[in-house]
Amino acid sequence: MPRILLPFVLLLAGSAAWAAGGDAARAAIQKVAPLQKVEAFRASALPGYYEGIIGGQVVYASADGRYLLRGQVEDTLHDENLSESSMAARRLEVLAGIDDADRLRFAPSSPRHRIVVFTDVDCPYCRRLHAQVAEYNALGIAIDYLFFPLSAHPDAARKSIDVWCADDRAAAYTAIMRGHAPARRECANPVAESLKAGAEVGVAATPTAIAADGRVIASTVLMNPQRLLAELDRRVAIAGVPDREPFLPTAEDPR
Amino acid sequence: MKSRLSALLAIAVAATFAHAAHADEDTVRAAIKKLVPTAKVDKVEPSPIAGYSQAIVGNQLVYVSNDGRYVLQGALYDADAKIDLTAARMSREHVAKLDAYPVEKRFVFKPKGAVKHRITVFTDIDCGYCRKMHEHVAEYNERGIEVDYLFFPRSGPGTHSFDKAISVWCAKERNVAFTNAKAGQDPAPLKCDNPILEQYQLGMTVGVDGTPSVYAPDGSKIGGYLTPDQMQATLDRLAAGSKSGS
Repeated sequence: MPRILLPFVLLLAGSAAWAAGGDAARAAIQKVAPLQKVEAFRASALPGYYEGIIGGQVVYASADGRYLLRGQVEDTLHDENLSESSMAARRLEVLAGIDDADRLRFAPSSPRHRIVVFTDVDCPYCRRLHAQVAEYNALGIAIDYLFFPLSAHPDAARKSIDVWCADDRAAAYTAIMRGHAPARRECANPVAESLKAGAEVGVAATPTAIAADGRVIASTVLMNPQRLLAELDRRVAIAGVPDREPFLPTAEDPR
Repeated sequence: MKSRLSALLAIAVAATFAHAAHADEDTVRAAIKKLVPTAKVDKVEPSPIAGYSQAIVGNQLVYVSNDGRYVLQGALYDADAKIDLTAARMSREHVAKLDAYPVEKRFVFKPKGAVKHRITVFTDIDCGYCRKMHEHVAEYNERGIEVDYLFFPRSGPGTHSFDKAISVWCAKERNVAFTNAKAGQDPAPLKCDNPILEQYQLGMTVGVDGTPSVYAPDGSKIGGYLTPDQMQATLDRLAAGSKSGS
């Protein structure tokens, strides 16, 4: 073979591996959790790698399926955490699948912002957050609660169902967050569904709040209504710039 | 046709060159500094994955693309060989530090017969599983396992638990005081020159994140509390693996 053709052959071999690599990479990612589904599988923004979400986190695999990375990938050129961007996109996808009717909504008449909060009725910070719900609403922030009873709170799942099935759901929620347990009730409810959705997007604690851009809001910001408003305004301002991608880095300095 | 082929060739050649390009250590260091300005990069070396270097930053191993653009943090696995490459590399880093720690500064509980395995255990007097582990120390010894304890009082320097560890070190019969403290008898308060802070700091550098933390002779962290049987099985398996040369 003429020596000059060798690189050409290598190139072809390389792209063939890439084209066929999707399968090998997907199979490698599957190994992380054999019983769970690999979601959002695609060629990664990290060159030469594929990525998928499994067990609530992004996993990267080389095209040939040999190397797997569980962790965070940072693009220092754009100050962007690529893993966080992928998770944000996935969170929005999962949340879009939850009907309004399956959320417990506390909203002002014309909200400026809407956040989704995974909540547990036996979690002290969730109670503290809800004690301020009128303030959030007054600032134009709507809160959609989704029940996420932690396994550490064995009664929380049942109590969530009691709240959901109460005649006045919102009043029952406010009451339980003030320490007044509602009457036992049974009915069709979305508790299992929201628990599953939370696990899929990596929720591990409560309250976990997700903004309209799919990003998790830091708890110190979340617990302070004024700071939360400022943060949500800031995110909208960044996202409103036309030549930017919808899911932006959390870094303070824009691209 | 000919020009299209040469264009492809040009790309191919460029790609080959880019691939072969060696990492510039400064580029790698700069990328990490950009992400975490206070980071102290201890070492930069080639990584198992093409186009990337790896850097040891304190307790962590990070992977950086040779052009400095991408920084990967987390666990890298060889899915074919089923090896956690990140943990394996950090184990090698840890073993050097653990091996260098002098025997006369350890609390050594030795088998009567031959020593088959030696484990280093970071421990805390006031930790339930540490106490449980020490209740079985004779059984570990019977299985040929030497148990070398170092103190890692989780509450940190200047606390009661830390002072108890110092008192144990300063006792006349160190191992007896150790065993008594583990059984819930507070040692008589004593002060003397002691290596407890040193042990605590060593624990931090090798990634102790709870007690007990058990390190195998190859520097890998294998527990957590393990029953004597589990401990023996794990150590035998590790020893067999390292002999087969992987």
